[in-house]
Amino acid sequence: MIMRLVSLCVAIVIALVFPLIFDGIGRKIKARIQYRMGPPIFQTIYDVSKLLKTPYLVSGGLMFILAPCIAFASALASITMLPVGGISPISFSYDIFVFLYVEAMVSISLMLAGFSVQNIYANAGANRETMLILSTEPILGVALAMLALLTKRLSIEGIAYTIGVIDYRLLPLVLIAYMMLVYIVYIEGGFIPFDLTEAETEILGGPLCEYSGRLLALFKWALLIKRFTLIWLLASLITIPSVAPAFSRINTVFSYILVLLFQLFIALVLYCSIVANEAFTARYKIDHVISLNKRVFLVSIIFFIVIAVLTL
Amino acid sequence: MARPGTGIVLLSQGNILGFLGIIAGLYHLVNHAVFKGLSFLSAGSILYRAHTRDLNILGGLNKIMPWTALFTLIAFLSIAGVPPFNGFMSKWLIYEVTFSSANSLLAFYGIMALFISAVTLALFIKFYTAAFTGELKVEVKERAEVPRSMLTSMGILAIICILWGVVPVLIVPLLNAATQTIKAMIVWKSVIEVSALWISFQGTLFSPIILLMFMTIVFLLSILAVKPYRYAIATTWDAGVGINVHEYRDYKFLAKHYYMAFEEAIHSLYYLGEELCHVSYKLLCNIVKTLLYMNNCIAGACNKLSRIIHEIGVAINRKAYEIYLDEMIISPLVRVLDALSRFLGWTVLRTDIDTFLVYSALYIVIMSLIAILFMGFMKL
Repeated sequence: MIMRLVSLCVAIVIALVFPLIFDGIGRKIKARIQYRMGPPIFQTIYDVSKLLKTPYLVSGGLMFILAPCIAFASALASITMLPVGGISPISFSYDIFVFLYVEAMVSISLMLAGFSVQNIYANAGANRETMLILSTEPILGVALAMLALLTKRLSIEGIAYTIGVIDYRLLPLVLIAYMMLVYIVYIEGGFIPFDLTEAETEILGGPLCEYSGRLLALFKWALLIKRFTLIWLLASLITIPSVAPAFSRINTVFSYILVLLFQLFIALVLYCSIVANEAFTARYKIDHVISLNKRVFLVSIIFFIVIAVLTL
Repeated sequence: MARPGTGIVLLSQGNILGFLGIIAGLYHLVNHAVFKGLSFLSAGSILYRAHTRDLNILGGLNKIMPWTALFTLIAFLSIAGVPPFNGFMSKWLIYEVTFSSANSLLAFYGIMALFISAVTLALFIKFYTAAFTGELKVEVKERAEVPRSMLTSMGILAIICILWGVVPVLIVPLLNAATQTIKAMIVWKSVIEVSALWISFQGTLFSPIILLMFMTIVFLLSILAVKPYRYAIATTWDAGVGINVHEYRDYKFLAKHYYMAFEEAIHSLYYLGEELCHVSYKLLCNIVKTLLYMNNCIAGACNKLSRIIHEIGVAINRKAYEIYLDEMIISPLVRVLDALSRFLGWTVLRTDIDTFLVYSALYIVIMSLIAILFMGFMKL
């Protein structure tokens, strides 16, 4: 119980600090790949803390102010459902569907914020975000169904621990489900070929182009936390199965710290490899993404049928 | 209505999850009654005030009807299945049942439910933001909220939407009781446990009220950090283009502009439907044609049969006795002549061979004489 309480605090601290540091590291890596010096690693923290002190302009209704706060709250709520150091913190649920829906609330508030202002460019950005979510959702469903059929569990911890002891003949199928999860995390995290929601380099950006000051800082922070949480989900699903055979049930403080560091390391490795990939790619248009997602969905359905036949 | 079907399928296989399936389906049914009712009421309110249903014309109604906007938002969040509203609870139960059923077909239905949930979210965002946000575009005679009686009915449904989502113990035991009759037949084991705080089953659990509390705390803290009393109102940024007052009203997506790329992408689906429609039309046509041909064949056979019967009838008719005056007068004469000639022929043929030869010779001689005379006559 105490460990779970500690886990909750650790999770919140990690969720508040590490997304900003990871973003800084990512910017540095991208800069080095492109032969630039790049900003310092803590640049994102400086940006957010400076923005949090700046006043802001409001050009919409009440939703304009509430949306970033809702996004921040749901982003922070979603990380409390993920295992930290192999132990799930005290939370309202450990279910993967609840996790994904709470995570999706960040997107929903982004859409609401973008659609409700009287600015056609913000509307267009929110429109892109909605279509992105719409086209990704079936793939997400197939990935979850594959994991559920393979592990017979729906809690994140349960899935992770079951994969640790799964029949080795099913491992290739688990890997395919993982690859689909990576694809979804890549899209929903808004990494570069799929960063068309914000389309940051455009003159007038996406749904956030009306935002400034503290509201912008909160929204940016929430989006970074969402991105980090998705990476953390992947890291947990990789870390726990690989250490689960070693520590059958992790209880001691030592193993807790060890697993936590391992999780952080895996998350960092995943983040860095995704960011390195970002440096070499350019943004897709929304119709490219939709047609790509359509193809990925068709391929994933084939794998789903294979799993359905094998687990009969 | 299809949702309780999952439960029935699983129950037929003796799966204990079937109860949960039925509970989830009924839960979703009841929720639909609530939030669909609420969204119809809000659509009615829009029609009452703005006298139009066209989302392309509507906009900015939250300035004159803030309460209706709030209730519509609650309805839309419930339908879209956003936690912790009631729509999410029932959808979540449905996902749990379909995905953990270990039945791949049901899991596929779960995937489709997940997708359709996202589609519902998209369409209700379109409805809400097109009708209520932005600048007021439609001419409204009375710039006021709808009457209090309309608001009250919407408010009750909105409160139910929140309560049944946050405190599922208010409704789930009732639905659980509905499955009692089935439980009597199968060995009963508790599948779902609901308390004021938790809803749990099969090793997974969810506490909407703790989620709400957690999010409210973080939300309030971030509101404090944002300081919502210190800001300046601004018009939207137009990148220095300089939009005039008349253009400003149209500086927002119309309802018809939403999700166009997605519509184009799934156009093939519509096209497929069209093609299938075409093929099935042709198939139907051919079936009808075959039936018509068979009909024609049968009709032809019947026609022939009736013709034969007709012929027989005619033949019988022909043999029947008939009286004709001309026959009475002329036919005796004809018969006499006939008999005479027959008699003559008979006498000729029945005479002995010598007489016959004599007659023949005579005939030949006479004929040759006639021929000679004729030829001489011709020469002259």
